[in-house]
Order: sequence, then C-alpha cells, then structure tokens
Amino acid sequence: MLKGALVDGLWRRNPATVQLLGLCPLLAVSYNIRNALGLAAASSFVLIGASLTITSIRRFIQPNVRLPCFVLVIATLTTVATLFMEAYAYSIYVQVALFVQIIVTNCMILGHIESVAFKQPLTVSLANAVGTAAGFSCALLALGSIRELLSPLIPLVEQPVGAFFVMGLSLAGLNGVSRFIDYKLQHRASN
Amino acid sequence: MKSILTTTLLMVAAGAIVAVANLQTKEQVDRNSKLMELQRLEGLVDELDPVKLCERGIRLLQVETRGYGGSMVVAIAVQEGELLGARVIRHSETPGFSDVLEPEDWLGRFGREPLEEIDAVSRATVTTNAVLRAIRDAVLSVDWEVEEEC
Repeated sequence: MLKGALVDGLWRRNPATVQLLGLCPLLAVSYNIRNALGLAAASSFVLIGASLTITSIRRFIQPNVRLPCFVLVIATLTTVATLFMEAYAYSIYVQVALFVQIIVTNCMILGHIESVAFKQPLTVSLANAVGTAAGFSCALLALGSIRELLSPLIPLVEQPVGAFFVMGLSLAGLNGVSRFIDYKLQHRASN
Repeated sequence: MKSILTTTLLMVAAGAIVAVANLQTKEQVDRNSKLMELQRLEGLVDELDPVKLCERGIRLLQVETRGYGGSMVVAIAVQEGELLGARVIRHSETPGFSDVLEPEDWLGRFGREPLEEIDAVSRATVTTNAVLRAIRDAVLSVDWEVEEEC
C-alpha cells in the first residue's frame, strides 16, 4: 500500500509525464538545471507540507468548505517558500519568482490533496506526497538538464518554443518505455 | 456556522505563519535587494547612501519612464554638473532588444560622450528614445549650479 502510493506518484501517475499537471512552470523554468532545482525544491516543500497539514487537520474541516481551506494552506506555504527563497536564494529567486508564486494554482498539489491527503491515512498520504514531489522534481531536472546540455548544439531548445519540443519528445520516449514494460510484463504473465 | 469558524481559525493561523516568516526573512530580503541595486549600479557609484555621495559631490537620481514594454527606471549620477553615467535599474523591454541597455553597449556612451551627440538606436528606437528623453529631462530639471547641502 505504502510502496504503491510512492510508486504511483513517482511513475504510474507521475504529475508531469502521465497526468500532465503543473506544466506551465515546468515548461517555463526548465531552461537550466539551477532554476529547475529551485522550482523543484519549492514545489516539493509546498506539496509535502500541505499534504501533512491537511491530513492532520482534516477531521476539523467540513466537506463544504474544504476547497477554500486547501487553497489557504497551499497559499500560506507558497508564501513562506517564496519569502525564504527571496532571503536565502536570491539569485534563483530573481529568475523563478513568478513561477514559485503560482505554485498556489498548481493542479498537481490540489489534485493530490483532494484525492489522497483528504481521504487516505497519514502514512499513505505522506508516501504519495513524497512520490509525487519526487516525480515532479525528476521531470523538472530531466527537462532542465536536457535543455541546458543541448543548448550549445541546438540553440532552439533553450527558447520557450524548445521546451514544447523537448517535453513532447521526452513524453513520446517515456510512453514507449512504459508500453515496452507493460508488454514484457504481459508476455511473462501469459507464459 | 461551524464551517465559518473552521475557516476563520485557519485564516488566523495562516496569517500568523506568514507574519512570522516575513519577520524572519525581512532583514535578509532588504539586504539582498540593496545588494542587487548596487550591482546594477556597478561602475557608476559604489554606495547608495545619499549623504555620503553628496559629500563627494555626487548626486544620484532615479527617473521613471515608459519604454516599449512598460515602465523603466533609469539611474543617473551627476558630479559637479557633469553626467557620470547612467544605468537601468528595472525594465520590461523585449529580450534581445534590451541589449542596448547594458553598460557595455549603447547605454555606456552616457558620461563618455556629450549628451547632444548621443542618438537613438534604430532597431530599438522606442527603448532608446525613452532612455534619452528621461536622462535629458532629469539633467535639465535640476539646477546643478546650486550647491546642495549635505
């Protein structure tokens, strides 16, 4: 159950590559590794923090006001993350500030809270939050490294347009890999 | 009724957390933005304190103007009626076209060449004209003959 929740976030229901959530900051920020790392850290902090907070206080939250409460918790954590980034990682903050602030509206986080943190036990919810955060961070870092490393060869990949190409091709590749894995598993099962 | 209470309590808690975080980081944030501003003014002045600058006869002015992509803030330093140079503190011009605003580029001509001889750049006409106008207005608006008391 725990492992399942972790793998769900990391691979089977990876927010970036399978659910295609949170793509706006993902595409905008991932032109180098440093920015990708900054956004990954902030998103993970907000996601895991909000998940823990909501899971531990959910018995006080009436279902009809749950969404405002979720958004309030997420917005508070995002503001805290922004402030600390502005204070202790200023050079990254200057470049990614806008995209850290819009973590509030990231569907990946709200989706996780609505479908997992509000319903599952604390450990499962935590495992899934860590998995989802790791999954999103991996996608960000992968995209960031591909774009930074390829940009001397193909200048286009550093441009905003390039993000779509790199993301599209990576998705195609990942889909191929996961099909192949499924095929192998099925093949083994039928033998 | 109960739901109103829950949301209100949560809001109070959230407000308190943000306030504490703000207090925690405020000092460092101020220091960072000041350092950033000094970095932008590199080569023009080495401190921001108006009193200390005034003692050396330097006046640092900031003028706001409208460029192609919105507001721009231009800083100029004047020593004894003579323009030392200009730096752009903040702008939202199109990347690529904003290269003229680098101190190594067109903007560096201020202070090195007479003001009348500097012309706009044709591929960035709106941007460079806005900067030119801002600097000319700023230089003309101040009576440099009057000694400023520090």
